[in-house]
Amino acid sequence: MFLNKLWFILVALTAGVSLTVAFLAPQSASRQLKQAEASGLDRAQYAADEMLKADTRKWIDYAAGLSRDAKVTEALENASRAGEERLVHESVRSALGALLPDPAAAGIEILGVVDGNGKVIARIGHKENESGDSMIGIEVIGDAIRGYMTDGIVADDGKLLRLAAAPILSKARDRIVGAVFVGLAVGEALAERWKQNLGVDVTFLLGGEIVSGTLPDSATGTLADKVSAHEAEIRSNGRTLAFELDFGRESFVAVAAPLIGEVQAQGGYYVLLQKRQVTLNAIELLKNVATNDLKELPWVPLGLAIVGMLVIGLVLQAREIEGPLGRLRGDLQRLARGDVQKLEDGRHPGRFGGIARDINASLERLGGHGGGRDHHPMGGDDRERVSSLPPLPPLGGPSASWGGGAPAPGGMMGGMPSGPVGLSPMNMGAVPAANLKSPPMPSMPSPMAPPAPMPQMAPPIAAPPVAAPPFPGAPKAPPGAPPSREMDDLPTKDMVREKGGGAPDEWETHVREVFAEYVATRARCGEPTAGLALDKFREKLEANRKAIVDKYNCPSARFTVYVKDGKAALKASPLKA
Amino acid sequence: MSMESVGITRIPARRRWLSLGMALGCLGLPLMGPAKASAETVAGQVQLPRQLATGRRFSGYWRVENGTVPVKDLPSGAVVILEGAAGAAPEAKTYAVKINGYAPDKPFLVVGPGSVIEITNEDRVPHDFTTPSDPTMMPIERLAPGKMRRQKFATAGIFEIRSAQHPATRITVVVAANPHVAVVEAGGAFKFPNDVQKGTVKLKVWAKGNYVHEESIDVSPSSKNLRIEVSAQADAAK
Repeated sequence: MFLNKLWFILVALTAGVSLTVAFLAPQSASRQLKQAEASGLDRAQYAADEMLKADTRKWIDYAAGLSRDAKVTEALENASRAGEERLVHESVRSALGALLPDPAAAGIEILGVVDGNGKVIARIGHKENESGDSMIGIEVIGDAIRGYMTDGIVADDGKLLRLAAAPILSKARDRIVGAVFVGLAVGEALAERWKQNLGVDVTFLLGGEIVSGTLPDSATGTLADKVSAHEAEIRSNGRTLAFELDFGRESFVAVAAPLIGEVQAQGGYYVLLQKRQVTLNAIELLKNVATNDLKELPWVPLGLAIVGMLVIGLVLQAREIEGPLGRLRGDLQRLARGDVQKLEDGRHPGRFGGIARDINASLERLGGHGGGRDHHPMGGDDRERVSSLPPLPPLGGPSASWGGGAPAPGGMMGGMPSGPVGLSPMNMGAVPAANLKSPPMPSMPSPMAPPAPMPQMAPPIAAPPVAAPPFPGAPKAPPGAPPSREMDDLPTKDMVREKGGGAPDEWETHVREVFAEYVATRARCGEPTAGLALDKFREKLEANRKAIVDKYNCPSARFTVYVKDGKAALKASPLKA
Repeated sequence: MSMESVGITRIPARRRWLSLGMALGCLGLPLMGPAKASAETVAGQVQLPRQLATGRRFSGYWRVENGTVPVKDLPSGAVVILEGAAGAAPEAKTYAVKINGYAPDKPFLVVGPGSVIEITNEDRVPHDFTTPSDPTMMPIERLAPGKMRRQKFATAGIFEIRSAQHPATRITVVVAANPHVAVVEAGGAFKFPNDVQKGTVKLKVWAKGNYVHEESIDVSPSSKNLRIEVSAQADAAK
């Protein structure tokens, strides 16, 4: 049972550790995944910025290319000489139209030319029919007029516009006569391009409103508020760290960064969002197991480990539970058949032995002990054990004291010393048979008198722990004490029948007393007492008693124990009527 | 009771005028002489970090010179003031500013407390002007094309009036408590228009909406060549 318990403790510990790992590991993995997602978004933001920068440079170069067009330059020089404004407008517009027939196809929202004072000479695309207004205050335009090729993002009617501008030099290339600018929408197309290249969703914000993006507005309803909450962080770091967003049932990780140019002061941001696919917990992880994951498992070691655990568990169960249980059941069946009178508790380990002892105790308590009534103090002996004992020698005849103290020629019981037995000078010399002339020894109970308790009783042979009273209230017999009268005084039917209705109580009492004394004497003499059984003892005494009765025609016989040559021996004496 | 009865002797009128003239002369000499000698010119150079030195407020990714014609950069828009220097504040006046092409014709004004700025929108688009640093002073209000808005500046300080639609459209108003306000030129040079009395004063540099530098200086003959270096941290703080 110990190993079984140990095994179950080990299995429980293993299961506990496995469950702990199953619940803890996803959290750790989730944290690492978040870090990985945040790191990925960081890289995506950097990449987005670089893409925007490179793309902007491309458009600056494009504007610079347009600024070198001869027609544009000539028209602007005419404009600066205060020519006919309408003609200049048409001239420049047609020149731009020739350079860029379909601005929308090129992704251009607006393409225009301003003179040296920032006044719009012509433009195509957005507000292409208007001219004459000044754009000198737009920093990108003003910078271009001052000689820079530059860019920036501005807001126009709630839309975001990327501007790239380049100065237009005079034909002599000695002064700046104006600037050409290109405006590109910051909207769905750019967001889709970023999403395609970066693998993340993109949203553009302006003044707390979503301008455009790859996610539906419903999914990003509170995004602007969330980004506004990070405004200080953006101002100091130029971007946010990755932060989490929950829109309904969907969860995102996001990084926000400001758009460059004037829109910085108007709440112009781009936000990169990565949808979190899996909410990591043990159940969700199991739900997301794919077929390929199963292929990755080390099935053979895993299977062997499981089978090994099962085998160990079953072996331990068979060894410590099933086997002992089977043996106990077999013994019980033998007990039920009457093959044995008691269970041999020594055969059963641990608690099963306890059960056997409990059953024995119950049997004794209930008085049901197979067919026998010999409730002896040596609990635990049974017929099998008795059979293994050496047989007692038959009692050879009357004791030596029968004839007046001479050693009796009669034999002893089976395994006992043969030959005449005599009374021990210590305890038996003064114990003549009742029919002898010599007075009876006071220590020897009279056949008619109730037996006195034995002065000293050897401990019962192989006395089991269950020798305690079967019921809590029952008095506990001291070690070596004779069996209680209540249990022993009831004669068996066999005994009554054999003795022809004599006094079975007295005979049985005598047998028990002699047996107890015999066992005690053997113990004192250092002889082994294990295996001595009352049943067998009784049989031998009965046989000897019959022989004596037949021989001497006496009603019964009495036996006494004495020591001969350092060994316990029995002496039989006929009982006078 | 006559004046003679209390022992006061009446001085003849001619002598009275003479005595008054002498007394005023005695008082005036020490004031005029040393005052002229204790005022010094304060000028120098302000070294601004790159982002503060440029006249452009909101930079883009690229700002590349054309390589053929020299560029003409805008002044940084930085202002140097002397706090605690003696001198009367500029007179309160009304200033008219026109917005055309998203740009004010007077992007920088030094005014006295109580001055009024009249902003006229000559653009085709409206402008919602406000002072972002203190919106309560000039609440945001839409200025439609062709309309004019008046705004009084009662207290000393530096204020930036900005269009909500076009943040680069802005007017810097320095409401000076004393006449010692200098605008930093394109190369970083500055010079106070009036001489400053000798002594210790606090010099402060304002750029792009914030005070970015502050130090105490002793006004002396050597104050003509001050070198003020604004740290890069100030740029970062901005």
